[in-house]
Amino acid sequence: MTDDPDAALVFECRAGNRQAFEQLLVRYQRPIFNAAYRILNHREDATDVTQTAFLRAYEHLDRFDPNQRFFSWIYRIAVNEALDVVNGRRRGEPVVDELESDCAGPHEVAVNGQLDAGMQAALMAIKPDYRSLIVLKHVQECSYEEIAAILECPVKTVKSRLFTARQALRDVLLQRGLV
Amino acid sequence: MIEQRTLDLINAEIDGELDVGDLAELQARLDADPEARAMREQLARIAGSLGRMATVAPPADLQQQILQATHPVARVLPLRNRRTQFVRYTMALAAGVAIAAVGVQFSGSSGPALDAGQLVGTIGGQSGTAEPANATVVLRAPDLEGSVGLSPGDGRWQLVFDLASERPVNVTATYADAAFRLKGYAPDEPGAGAVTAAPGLIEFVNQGTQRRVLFLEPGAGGPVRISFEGQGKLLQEAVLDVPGQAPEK
Repeated sequence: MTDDPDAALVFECRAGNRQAFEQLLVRYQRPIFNAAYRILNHREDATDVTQTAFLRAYEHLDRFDPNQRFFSWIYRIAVNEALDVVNGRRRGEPVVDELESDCAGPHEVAVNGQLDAGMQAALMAIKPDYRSLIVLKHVQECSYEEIAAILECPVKTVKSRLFTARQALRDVLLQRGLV
Repeated sequence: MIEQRTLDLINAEIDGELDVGDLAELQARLDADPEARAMREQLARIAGSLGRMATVAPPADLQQQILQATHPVARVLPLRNRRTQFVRYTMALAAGVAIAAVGVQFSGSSGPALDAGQLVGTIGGQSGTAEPANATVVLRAPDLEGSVGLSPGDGRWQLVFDLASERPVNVTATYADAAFRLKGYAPDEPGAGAVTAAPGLIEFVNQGTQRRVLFLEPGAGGPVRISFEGQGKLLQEAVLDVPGQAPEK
């Protein structure tokens, strides 16, 4: 068994307690939506991915392995969904960031403003699987171990791919004169 | 050319994975390699910028939409954000319930508007041979009272809801696509009280004492399963059999 507190909610869901599922939803809909949004740069697609991820999880609660964390499971479903959307994408319009108030203060904006402003576009210029790694590590602040569980690969692989992904992002930002 | 060991240490530092010993080694390497110092500064700025990315609020109704789509009985398709990928998955999820993905949202102009007298009249005036088997279901649940019934109208069936609830109650009706077609409803009520529908699915929210009549054009006939949900809980269900033929005029 796991010490994951979410696992108990999953078991309650399996027993037909919809409020338990609602608690999981409340806990994870925002981070899942944000991860999807940063991978896709599209609000409606991110909404779709979040919905689909939770519906898939709900449908397959019986397949949830209590030895893993619900957190990793729902993230894995969402990241895979997001990558599916990227691979089959037909829409092109980007979404402008809406929340300026969460950004840095005036001094940092002066120093980092251009970099911050160009970061989402630069993310969109690197390979989607690199992008998801960077989003998980730097935006969602997942540890190597958590990313390894989400992506179902060894920690060593996460590290090496993350280094490569960061290098790719740096190259894009250098080309654009942002670092 | 930056040595691989230096690159590894820089990346590990960015990820907060360096111990004191490694940190000292990195510092020595940086002191000796200006190119490595520049790289480290760039990567640190990039990591800082990524960390400052704004958190974006999901749509306000996202949670409700997901909860509706996982309804234990209906598992129906949310109507307001019906988009390709979600539709594709929800269709698979709801295959047993047979919901088609081509949704139609009925707006305020969708049905023949009847005044209250007409509505009372049609309910009272049941006649004809194609009588529904279970014409009225009485509703008694916490924060919900009233009835839902099926009655003959002018060449079509009428699904009549007489509901009283202090708080919002989500009403969801599901049925086989071919059972009948929703032709309209009364009264017209734009906004939160509006009836929304897709083939195989009808939804609206009741609050207060309200009467709604849905006009059903006969099809193959079959059961319509109606669920009443409030505060995230299923309050009551009802099943009415819609005949596969029109009522006699």
